[in-house]
Amino acid sequence: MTNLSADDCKTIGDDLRTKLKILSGTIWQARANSPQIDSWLANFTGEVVATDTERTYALYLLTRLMYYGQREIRALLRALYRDLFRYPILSEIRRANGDTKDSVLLNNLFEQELQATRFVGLGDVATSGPMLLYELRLATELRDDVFTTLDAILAGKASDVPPAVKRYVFIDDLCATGDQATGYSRDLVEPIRSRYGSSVELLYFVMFATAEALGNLMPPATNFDRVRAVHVLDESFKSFGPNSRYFPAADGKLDLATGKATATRYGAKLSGSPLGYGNCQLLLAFQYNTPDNTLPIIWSKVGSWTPIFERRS
Amino acid sequence: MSVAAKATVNPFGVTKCDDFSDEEIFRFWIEPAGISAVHLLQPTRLMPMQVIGGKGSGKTHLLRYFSRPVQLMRQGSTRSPLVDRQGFIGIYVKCDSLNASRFSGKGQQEELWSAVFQYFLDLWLAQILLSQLPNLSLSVQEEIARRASDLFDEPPTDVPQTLEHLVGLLRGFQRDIDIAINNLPLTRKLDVRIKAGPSRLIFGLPHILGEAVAELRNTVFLYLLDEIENFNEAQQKYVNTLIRHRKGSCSFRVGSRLYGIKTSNTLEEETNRRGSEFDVLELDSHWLRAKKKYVDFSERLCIRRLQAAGHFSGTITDDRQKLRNAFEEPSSAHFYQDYTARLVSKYEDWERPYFRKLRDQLLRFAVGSRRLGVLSNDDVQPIIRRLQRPPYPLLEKLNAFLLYKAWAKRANLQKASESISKQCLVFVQSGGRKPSTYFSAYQHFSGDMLAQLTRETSHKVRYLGIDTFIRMSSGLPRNLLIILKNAYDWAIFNDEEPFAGKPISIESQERAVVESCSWFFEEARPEQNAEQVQRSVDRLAILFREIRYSDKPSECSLSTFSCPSQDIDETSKLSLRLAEDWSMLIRHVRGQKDRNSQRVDQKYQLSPMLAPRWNLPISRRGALALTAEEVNLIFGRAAEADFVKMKEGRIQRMNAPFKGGEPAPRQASLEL
Repeated sequence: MTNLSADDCKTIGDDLRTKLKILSGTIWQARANSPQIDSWLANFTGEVVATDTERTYALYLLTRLMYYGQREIRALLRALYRDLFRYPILSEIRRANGDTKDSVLLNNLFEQELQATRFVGLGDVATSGPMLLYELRLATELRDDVFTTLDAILAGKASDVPPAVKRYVFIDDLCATGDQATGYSRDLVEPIRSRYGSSVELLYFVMFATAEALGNLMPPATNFDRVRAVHVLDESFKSFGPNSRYFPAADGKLDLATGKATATRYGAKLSGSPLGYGNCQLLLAFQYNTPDNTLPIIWSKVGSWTPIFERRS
Repeated sequence: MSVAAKATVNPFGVTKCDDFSDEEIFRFWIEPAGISAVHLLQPTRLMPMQVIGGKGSGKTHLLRYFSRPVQLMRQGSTRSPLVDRQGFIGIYVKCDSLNASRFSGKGQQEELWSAVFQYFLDLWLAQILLSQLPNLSLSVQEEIARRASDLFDEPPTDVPQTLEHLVGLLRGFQRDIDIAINNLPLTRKLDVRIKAGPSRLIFGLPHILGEAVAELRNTVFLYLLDEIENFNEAQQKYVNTLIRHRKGSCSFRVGSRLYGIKTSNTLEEETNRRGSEFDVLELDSHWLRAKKKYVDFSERLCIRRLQAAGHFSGTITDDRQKLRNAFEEPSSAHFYQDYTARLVSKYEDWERPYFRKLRDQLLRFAVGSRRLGVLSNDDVQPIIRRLQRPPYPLLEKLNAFLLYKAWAKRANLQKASESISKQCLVFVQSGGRKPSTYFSAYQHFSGDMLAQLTRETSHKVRYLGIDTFIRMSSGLPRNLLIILKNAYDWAIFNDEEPFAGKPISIESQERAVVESCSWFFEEARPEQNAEQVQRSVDRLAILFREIRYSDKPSECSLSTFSCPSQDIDETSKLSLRLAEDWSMLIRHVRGQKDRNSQRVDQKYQLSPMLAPRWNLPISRRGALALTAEEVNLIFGRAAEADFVKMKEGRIQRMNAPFKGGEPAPRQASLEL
């Protein structure tokens, strides 16, 4: 691990601050301005390398953070609906009808399929899954009656269960390890499967997923018939992994080892998983919350640590 | 979770008027002070005019302001009389929307392309002209349409009855050309039928309109061709031909960047001459000559934006003051006492860096010199002590500078330091007015000494305040808008309330200047020889910087050089021309008289927009006289080592112990 020279700290720091100004003024919608960034930087006090060096690494990691505001989330949900749901169904309908290009016929048949579909948020009422349904409805302008809740399904509400329904689409924002989705499958989706058997198709669509988690969720490991993600996070998104897309940086002046040591040292004070739940090492935040798979130095509020994008439990 | 800052709209967010609607062109128009826009562009004058300026000099805003839609807004109502008192109809076209690069190559002869382009341009301008006309009676429309049909050598089979039909006919002909060009890769043949001779429509339609519509009888039809740099040489020759053979009540205003005019020749290879066939309005030069008016214009430009955004709402006088107060600046009172005290505050327990450096130099180079009056180490301390004036670090810097000057002249440093000390005392006691020699030194070199002091104490050289930003923009209003846009963004990022609360902080301004400067440097990249030009400018700036931060700078506020016209090699000439065309260098038309030969040399200033990149001054005072050989080392293809050798040779004379002889004085000498 090496310290940066004072000149390098200044030059790289100035460049990073210019980037952060642009991020703050655009994508972040002024959620983290200079004073908030300075408060966050004050957490780094030179426990691993010199304070200025640590803060330069912290600034760099912050510029790499993928932040999704409301506008971007709606765009992702539109893509989820279009690419993971609508197009595959249209494709099936077309194949089943002699590769027809009759748009009226295709639309009518798709409408029937949509009518027999229910979109469901995964998790409790206060979690992100159900909240995403609202955003999905705004993003796609779908009718209210194609959305439902797990409670309604398990209560056997006629309009939300077979034979009126032949497909449930579970929506989620991130599947980083697959642990949570596996738990949902076991605790929440299994009762549906038990009750309605193979008369219903159970789909799990997520905005982001790691390649590893997607593999873990594929049937028969879970009750889902199909698992898809809009954006698959490959190994390169693991901040300090061997294939990290983030290091080396700044013409080789910022190296992976120093970055990792700094994030681990402070992360260990904040969480049992110093580099994020499941050691995912992600740099990802949503407007409504920050996943625990992201580096804890970004979101933790343990003790006197000031987060930059706080995670709400 | 951090608190979300309030969403704000940057009043300077739009820096290109291409992004403005016609209504915004009208709303954000600022009439130049002293001379009206009408007087500048003279829209009713038949003499054509080139409107030349650097990127962001305001050419498009000026030309669009005279376009018909904005003309109507100036009249106050779109139902106003046809032409009213303005006496002209502005037909604005942006040359890049023509996609003129289509009209060349693809295995076709250039003559063929030339003919097709001329026809296409005629059709295009004719459509725009006709679309500017208001409602006319059907009988008048029929007459115009019928007579316009006669302009074609191959009259249309379906003679148009209305202007709408006529425009549709022209659009159809234009579409035929588009289709022929689009299909050229397939057909290998440019299958276009030219139905009207060159310029027939451009001059013929205004003639018909003048005869058919009484209100248009004495109207000037002013074609406003913007961004002519998008036309190649052959295409510009056609425009030059139109200018040379202008007919009736038609005229042209042609907007171009500094490097945009590729030829002055016509298709017949006759040369159009300035003053004979056309006039020239040079926007940057106009502003550079009229500095006070440019300041006034720039302030009103800012105020208009701030008023539109709801930040300002007072009288122009109040708002000018508010604009001035909107930026934090260090006070210059008592020789920047507060500001410089902060700079040196960390040296409370140590010797200030400039005295430490001077002491080291005296001990190293001067001890043992009877002529300098420094016989032993013990002679150094009294010299330093006499120069000290702790409450005024800037004056201490000036004192050290004056001692270096004496040293360079091999004067007795004991006596010199005594003299400097006395003069400094009188200067402080007189509130900065006396004695004249010291006053003059302060007047000339305080800016450079402040910059040196800032740098020596490991601080950034600062460029702050609206006056500085206006000066930096050097006649290009877009540069000013870019700086202000960045300052506003940085202030928001730093949780400030620009133009509403406290002044924009020094830090926000500093960062805005750095960002704007980098933008300008990257943006000002010539399409050819970019690396050569940027390297040349870099070398020049490095030379300036080393002089400015030397012990005894030969010039004050150095950002300018002069050089002879002769013996400059071709590469250097090209670099100089490109650097000027891209506004990296500003050429001063009057030049500089050489002190020895009385020869008038060329004179160039490094763009103040670039000055912060090398911590150089934005004002222009001293000019460095370069020889042709030195110019070739900077702007030519010379190896880096040769340039460095030349530079060090020059700098050696300005740093203790001042070897290499004292150069001939190039400006008023400051005797002490």
